[in-house]
Amino acid sequence: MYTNEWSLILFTLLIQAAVGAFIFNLIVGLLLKDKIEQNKLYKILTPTQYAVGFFIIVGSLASVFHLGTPTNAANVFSNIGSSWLSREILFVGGFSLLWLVTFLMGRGKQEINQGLAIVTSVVGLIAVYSMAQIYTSTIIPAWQHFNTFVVFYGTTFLLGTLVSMSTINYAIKKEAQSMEGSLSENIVTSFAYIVIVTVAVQVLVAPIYILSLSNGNTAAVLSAELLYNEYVFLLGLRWLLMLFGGVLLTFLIWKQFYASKQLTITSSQGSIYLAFIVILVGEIIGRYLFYASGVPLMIG
Amino acid sequence: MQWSAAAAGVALSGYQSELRNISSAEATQISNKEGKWITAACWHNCGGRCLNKAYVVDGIVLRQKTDDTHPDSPDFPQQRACARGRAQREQVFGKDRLRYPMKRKNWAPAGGKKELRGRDEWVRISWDEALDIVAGEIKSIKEKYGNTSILNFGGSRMMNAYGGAMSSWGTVSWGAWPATSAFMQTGSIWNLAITSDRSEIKKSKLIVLWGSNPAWSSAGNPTYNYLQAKKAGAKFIFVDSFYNPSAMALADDWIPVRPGTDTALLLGMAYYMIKNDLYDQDFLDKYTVGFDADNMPEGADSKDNFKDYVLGTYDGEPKTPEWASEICGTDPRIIRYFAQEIATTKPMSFISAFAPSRTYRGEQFCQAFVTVGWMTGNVGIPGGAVGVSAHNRASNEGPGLVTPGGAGVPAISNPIFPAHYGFPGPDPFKDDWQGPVWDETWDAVLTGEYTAGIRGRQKCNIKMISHMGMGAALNQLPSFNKGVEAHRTVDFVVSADHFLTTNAKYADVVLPATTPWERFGGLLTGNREMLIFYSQITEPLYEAKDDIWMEKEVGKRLGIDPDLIDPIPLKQQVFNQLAGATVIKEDGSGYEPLVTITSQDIQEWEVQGEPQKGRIGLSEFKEQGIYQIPRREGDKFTHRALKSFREDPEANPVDTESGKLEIYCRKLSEYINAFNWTKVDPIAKYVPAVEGYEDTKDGKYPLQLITIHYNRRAHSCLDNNLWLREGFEQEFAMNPDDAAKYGVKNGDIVKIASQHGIVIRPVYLTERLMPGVTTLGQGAWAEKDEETGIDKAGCTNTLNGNKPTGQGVQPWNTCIVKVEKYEGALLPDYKWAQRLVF
Amino acid sequence: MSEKGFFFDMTACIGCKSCQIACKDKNDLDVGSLFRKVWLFERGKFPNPRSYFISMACNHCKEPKCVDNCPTGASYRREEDGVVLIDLNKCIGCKYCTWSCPYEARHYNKDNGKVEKCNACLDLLQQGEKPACIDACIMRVLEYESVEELNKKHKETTKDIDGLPDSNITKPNIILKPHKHAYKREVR
Repeated sequence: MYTNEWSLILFTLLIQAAVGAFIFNLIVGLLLKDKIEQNKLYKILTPTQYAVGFFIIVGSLASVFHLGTPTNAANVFSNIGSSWLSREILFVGGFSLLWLVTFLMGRGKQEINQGLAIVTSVVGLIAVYSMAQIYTSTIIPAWQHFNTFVVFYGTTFLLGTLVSMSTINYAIKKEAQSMEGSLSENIVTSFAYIVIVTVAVQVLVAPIYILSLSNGNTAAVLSAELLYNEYVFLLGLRWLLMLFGGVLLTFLIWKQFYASKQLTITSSQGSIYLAFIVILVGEIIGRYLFYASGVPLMIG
Repeated sequence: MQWSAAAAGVALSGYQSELRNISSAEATQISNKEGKWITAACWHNCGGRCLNKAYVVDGIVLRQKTDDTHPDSPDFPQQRACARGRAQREQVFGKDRLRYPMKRKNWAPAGGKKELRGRDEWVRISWDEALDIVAGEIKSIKEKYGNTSILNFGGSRMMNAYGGAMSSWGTVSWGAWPATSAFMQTGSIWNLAITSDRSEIKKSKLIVLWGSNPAWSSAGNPTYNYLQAKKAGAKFIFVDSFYNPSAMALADDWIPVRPGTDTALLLGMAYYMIKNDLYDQDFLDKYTVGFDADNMPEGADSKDNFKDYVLGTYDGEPKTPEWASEICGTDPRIIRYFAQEIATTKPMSFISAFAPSRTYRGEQFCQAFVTVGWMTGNVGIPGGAVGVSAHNRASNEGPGLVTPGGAGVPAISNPIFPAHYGFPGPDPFKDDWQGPVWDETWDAVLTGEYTAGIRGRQKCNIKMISHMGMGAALNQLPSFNKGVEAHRTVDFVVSADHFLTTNAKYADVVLPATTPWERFGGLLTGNREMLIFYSQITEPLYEAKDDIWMEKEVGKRLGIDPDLIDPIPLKQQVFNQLAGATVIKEDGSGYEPLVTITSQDIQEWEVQGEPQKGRIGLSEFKEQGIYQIPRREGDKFTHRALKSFREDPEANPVDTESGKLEIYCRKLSEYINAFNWTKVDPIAKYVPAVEGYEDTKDGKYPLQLITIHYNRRAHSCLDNNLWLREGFEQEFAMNPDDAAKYGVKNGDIVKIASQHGIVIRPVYLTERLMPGVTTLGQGAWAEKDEETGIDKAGCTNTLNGNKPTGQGVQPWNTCIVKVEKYEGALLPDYKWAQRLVF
Repeated sequence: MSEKGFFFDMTACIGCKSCQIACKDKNDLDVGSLFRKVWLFERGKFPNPRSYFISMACNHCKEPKCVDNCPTGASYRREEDGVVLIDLNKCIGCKYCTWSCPYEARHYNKDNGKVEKCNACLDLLQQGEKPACIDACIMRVLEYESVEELNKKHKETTKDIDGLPDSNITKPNIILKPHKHAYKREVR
């Protein structure tokens, strides 16, 4: 029903991607800690931080376009006590601020403070949680479902890792850095596993979700009907793309196991970029469908 | 703090004779000022009449309200206005009001490019130029072709003084009731009503509403009055093809029947009643003629009685419920049940509206309806009545308890169609009139011929169409497409209107007219218990002028004395009506003056008159805007139809040939037959209609269409009102089973075609409609596409063909159509561009 | 506090929309915006259609999700009578409340970038009058009073009928006299 929510689509995707990218970056940082020089590590991780910042800025700007009266925006924290929207803005704001601090401190020291990054990540995860709660607190059955958490965290991990991997690869190439093969392989495999598992969870939840909608109240049924009638092509396309991304990375892992080929970030870049593109498109379609299939409880 | 509902940006309100947008800051400022409630006219032919008030601040109308002049109770109810009345200011101050006189760009004397009517550009002109053109065309056409070449809708004092004009006539809303009522029971084609007032109806144990939907056709209190009867214990049975909104609130039973086949249903019921001895033989013998062979009027063949026709004694066709069911679609078991109910529940009010008689051969329905009603003997007894209760008298028939006086303006008769005829029609035996029935009007223009009663086909040569004064003929007469052609044939078309209505759209010259909100004031009557006195709300908008001013100005140019056309100022006319207004005395014994008038009032009003004593002071009346008789249980104002006739039929005969109720009515048959269209028997017989149910069977046009009164509008008035467009979407309704046959889903845009035209509309699927029957609200302003000929507004007259029948009935509920899915898009009406000119 | 609410006698509503238009007039609403709306419900199958109307505005719920979810506090519930109001000076037009109302009572106004709704004609209440819709009803099926009084006056009422969202979601202050066709049945 809500087919024109482009600002919210942009906002939720970008903020979730930012949180995910930040977290994966932290993981990479932890994996490589003490294994390569601080300065080198910093250079590998920095482009991701820029991307996170860029996403935060564009996402926040997009969210403003959703508002009818942005000039009143200062009021948004007035109902922290009961409104998940207030809380979301608080935590997204908190994440953004912490990212800024992490980023600026990192610039000074040429080193990212991992303690601070952990705090930032936790706040980011809470922000995504608040974001999902906004939708589960409505009277729209398609959103009240735990599927909302699955897709929001799904986006966080999928887009986050894909963004992070892409920027890390970019950093390595740009700086003409070299990295020890086994380290590189660790990163690539953990990245691939995150993506594969997240896709798998989503693939498992999706039919359960549609099935439970079909057995729900009138509004839920209407949502389900929208998905398998009007939007069946988009829905199919989304899952085709997601699966393709998942299979691509499974193949990567397979190569490691059975072809005994050592994976490195740069040697996997084709797969990473391709997975990024198809999953990104799949996610945009998915988020569009999330809004478009929302039917409120209605009189009727 | 600003409340969410505070007036934020009052869009377009009347202000110093102009319309303009008001900023929200200014709106807040205005709404803080003290204003005044003024009684505003709600003047439409909607089938109701209610009190409407406007809150005016600095000449700007901020909001409306309805009757709050006294506490509301079922016996003494407030006269509350319906959605249309409540949206009145959206009409008067509509952005699309006509502002200036204008002419068609390609107009030239004697027409210019006539084929461009309806699609030409408009050019703003001065009043002088406009009036000169109108007068000039009238003069030259009269001189060249004579007065009968000028077709004037709605009557014009100016034209009458100038030698008259051709009129059009017909029974319109009233269907076939005028002559049937007159000859069978009342003696007057103006008196249809043999039903009682609301206090009597409340005594009924059973109320049958046949083809009646007061919720839409008689807004205001009628449905509420029926609700009181329901609360008092009456059972309601609705007979209709459509389970209508009134039925949704009132009905205990719904008897579905195919449009135009009600006569068959009634005959099937009569058969059951006769066979089971479920009729009041004593009543029929004493009070009626023609039921059986023993009770026939003098000179009639005894074989032609009603009972033998029903039994099939001579024609070999018993009119059994099974026979009826084949035609009317009602289950035979339901026919028996229904007959049993009406025959055994007393007292009963057996009430019909006009719709079932607004059919081809509609007279047969009226005959059958009253005949079956009379068989139950529910005449003149407490809570018992048989007949019509409709329009603004619905649920509450009877003589007015408070009535206005005359305005004092002497009539000017039309030499071509004398004033005493007018609506509902002329005497077919006489030759003192000329003019086509509504159904033959466009044919008369196009072919130069029409039917004039016993004189048969007459020649005419119509060269000019005038829509000055009133009406919406082009949109509201059958065969809209022929109407367009007719308008593109004549030498001159002039319209006066509030908007670019269909009438105005196809004219050469359009004159902007004032609404009653822009005039001094006046009186409005509706139901029998009240009189409304409305006042001026605003100055005339832009260059809008009163209709009578236009008449005078054109008249002047034709050398007619303006004082003949408009002899008395409006204020004096209103004063005369007030001074002459009467109200029933407390004891019901007679009438007395209503309004107390002092010499000071006369001075203040600057009118001629005498002081008088009445019930309510002049200024108090103006302030309140209404005088209503307080009714209470057991008061003296009850009206029981045919009470005295029932008590003593010898002393108080009805005004018919026999003095009795005429089941066999020779005069009716002769009268109808004299019109020279369809014939009718002296007794009720079922004869299939042209374009009726029987004609759907070949499958070319498989669906019947009824064109109901729709509550977006009052006929075509208010169709452009955006609030109402939003509330009432002008959907084409049909049964889902029918829709499935054509692959049509709810909300689809469908193309609806009859033999006479094509419209497109969104479809609304409903189980409330009988399979095989469809409905579309009448009155939408036609939007005919010049290329495809498709009318996207769904004007029902695009679909309704002109088929003159009976006494000059417009058979709008006799129409057959086919439906298919339309592949184009259609925005909801309220999103359409308004018809803005300047 | 003496909580106020609407009473609606569905049995006698004819769907005439006088209330809807009176509301538009009182609140000066452009097309596209309705604070009160009349709904037509259709069930059943010919020749036994089951159908009825509902006239509904904001139900000034006891547990209004719109108020809970509003981030700015612009939406609030008035202490003395439970009227749910919007302070337009605070509203940011996030539309979150429109996703929180199961009765479609809230409308986003593109022109001023804020959400608007029925305020029970607060100005009229202050003058001792009733909301505009109440006195507009030509069938006299709408009432607005203290909930206590309404419950005393009307018996055999309900909040849950076939076609309305479960009243447990927001605890609406609407009392319905159900139409014979509208009794709540098992949903699917």
